[in-house]
Amino acid sequence: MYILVVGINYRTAPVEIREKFTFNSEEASEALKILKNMNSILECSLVATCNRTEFYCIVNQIHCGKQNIIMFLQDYFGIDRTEFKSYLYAYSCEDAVKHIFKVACGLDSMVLGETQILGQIRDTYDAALAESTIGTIMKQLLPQAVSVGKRCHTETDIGKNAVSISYAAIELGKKIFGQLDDKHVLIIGAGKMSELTAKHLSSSGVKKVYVVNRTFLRAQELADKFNGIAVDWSDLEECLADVDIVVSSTGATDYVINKKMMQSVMVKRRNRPIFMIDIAVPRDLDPAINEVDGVFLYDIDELEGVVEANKKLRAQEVAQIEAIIQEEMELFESWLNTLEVIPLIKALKQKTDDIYEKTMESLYNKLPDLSEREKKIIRKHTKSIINQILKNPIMLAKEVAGDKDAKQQIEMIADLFGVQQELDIKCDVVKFQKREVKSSQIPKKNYFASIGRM
Amino acid sequence: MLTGNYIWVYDLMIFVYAASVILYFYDFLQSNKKVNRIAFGLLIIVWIFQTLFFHLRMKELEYLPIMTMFETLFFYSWILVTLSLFINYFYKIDLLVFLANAVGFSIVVLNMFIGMDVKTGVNEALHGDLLNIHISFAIGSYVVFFLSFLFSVLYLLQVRMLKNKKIFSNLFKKIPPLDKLDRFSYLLALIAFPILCLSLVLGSIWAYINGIPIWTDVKFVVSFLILIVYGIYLHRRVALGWQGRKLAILNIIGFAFIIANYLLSKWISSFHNWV
Repeated sequence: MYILVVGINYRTAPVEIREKFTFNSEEASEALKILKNMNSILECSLVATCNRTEFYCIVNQIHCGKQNIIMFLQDYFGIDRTEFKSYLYAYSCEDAVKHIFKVACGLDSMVLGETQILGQIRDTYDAALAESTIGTIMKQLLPQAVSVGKRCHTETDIGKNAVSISYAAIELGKKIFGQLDDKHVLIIGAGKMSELTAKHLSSSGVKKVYVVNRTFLRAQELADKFNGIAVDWSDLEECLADVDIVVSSTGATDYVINKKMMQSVMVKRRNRPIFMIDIAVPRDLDPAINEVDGVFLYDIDELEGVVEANKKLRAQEVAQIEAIIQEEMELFESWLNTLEVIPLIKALKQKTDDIYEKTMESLYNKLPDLSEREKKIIRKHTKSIINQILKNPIMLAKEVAGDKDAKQQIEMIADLFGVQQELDIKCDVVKFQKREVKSSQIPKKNYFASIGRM
Repeated sequence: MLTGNYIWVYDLMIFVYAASVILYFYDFLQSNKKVNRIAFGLLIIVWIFQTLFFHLRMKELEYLPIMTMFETLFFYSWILVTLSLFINYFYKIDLLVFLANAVGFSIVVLNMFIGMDVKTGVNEALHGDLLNIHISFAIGSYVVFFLSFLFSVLYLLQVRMLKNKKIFSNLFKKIPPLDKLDRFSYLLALIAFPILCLSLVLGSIWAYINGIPIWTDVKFVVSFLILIVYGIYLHRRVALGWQGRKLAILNIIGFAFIIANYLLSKWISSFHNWV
């Protein structure tokens, strides 16, 4: 048995291809059922996000498994395999585990270190569990992948710094106000950008959202979406005196707020700090406003600069995460090895239980007058003898499972206890040694989807 | 005279203090939680040693040792360590604890050059509960004002970095939010103000009882100036609802008066000059 990963993602395939191979959650369960019934696929699970579609499987044979998945994709989507084969990648054994862990840590994501993928892997696990298409190995591997991802986020700074404009703005806001939950926000302009910003801010827990727009009706519309308050354009200055954060993105060609206006606002505010974000191009807020005491003005380029710097910071954490992944892979490998011991332990338990039952039977025949209590005491103590004798061999077997000559040692223990025959009952075990798969030559192009600015 | 058989407590305290400050600095650079916890532990040990030293000295001299320059500075650092332990435990403002203790450590070290001699010139009149409270309250308020001052300095620094968009430094990451800095500097000044007030009133009463003419004393006058500056600061903040940079500058001016007061009393004052 082997672990196999087959999939496409934003690195290997352009969006035209990716969008053809998407599954929603119902389709995913259906796909899992079909896959499970295919030859050579023993366990399977499916990660389907907008940037990647990946199958995590346990297969009899690597090549066969891969071909089966390609066949499945061809049949399911009705696209000829020659069209998409070159975009597929496949990893097996060690590489597959490494890949799954990397995905979970967000190293393979478009936004390095994002955490959404963790939830998606958890969903993958839940879906596969619900359809019972995964067995012992995947039931260990997927939760471990999730915990590796969590570990990366607690032990390194990969998720610490904001890598989108709105989060960068929110972080700066927190640097000024500490908490945002008792703060008021003013949105100037009722366009698409304003809506997006209002959404982010209100989800980060601000208390009140005001919307001001040249046409009051549009302001009213946007305000209704966020339980906000629409403000008349003529009341802009009064509103500025009240709010803590201002986001401006109007289509105006001239400055909406100038320095003089802001100076009189600050007198009204008694120098209470105000955070102003200008995401409009051309700019809405006069850059000279930043000189006014207590005003912190950031325009789109400056926020973009923060995002760029943070991306670099995240990239610095990659080496540390790779070390964590290496560590976790070793853990997984030793867990795989303990699987080999399970038949031995089962056989030992089986044999001793047989002996025990037979002995007890003959004992009860010889001593028919025993009371229930006496029987109970005898059972308890004889059982304890067995457990104490077995304790060391079982511990030793588990310990040697990771060794190079594990097989011989386990056989020796089996010999000692006379359970060789039972051990011969074949138990399939995943092999972890690296086996090269002829993967298609993937063009190393980066098909990044266009990322919105907000 | 000091017998000196417990000087080792002071020496040991300095070593532990140095280690603690270095570890706090390391945590500042590398953000290491474990190191931070060790530094905090060491600071507790420093506090224990300081308390022990204070106790031993009190036992030897048989009065509250806050009379000579060495003793007052030592007392100052003891309160500083106490308060920073408190801040570290309840509010987790590592940067402030580091800065406060860097200063606290330099005081403790410089103090070694002053010498621990007991001035025989200090007359019997200097003993008494009223005076003890006057001195300890004054020193205590200075410590709290110092912390308030540090918060205001950090506030100005933070404003500068935000305005000039210099937001990629390690310092920027470690500095608490503006709002917090503002609130803490205000709260600490609010606490220190009545303490200093009480100290001055008690000092005046003591001087009056003992018939010492202090009304023209430099320290007496400047102390009341300090009260006025901080009074203006609190008035601006509470009654007028001010916030921000100008208020922080006012706070810093207040602390500058405290420093000036200390130096003046050393050189000019007719009365407080032994301290």
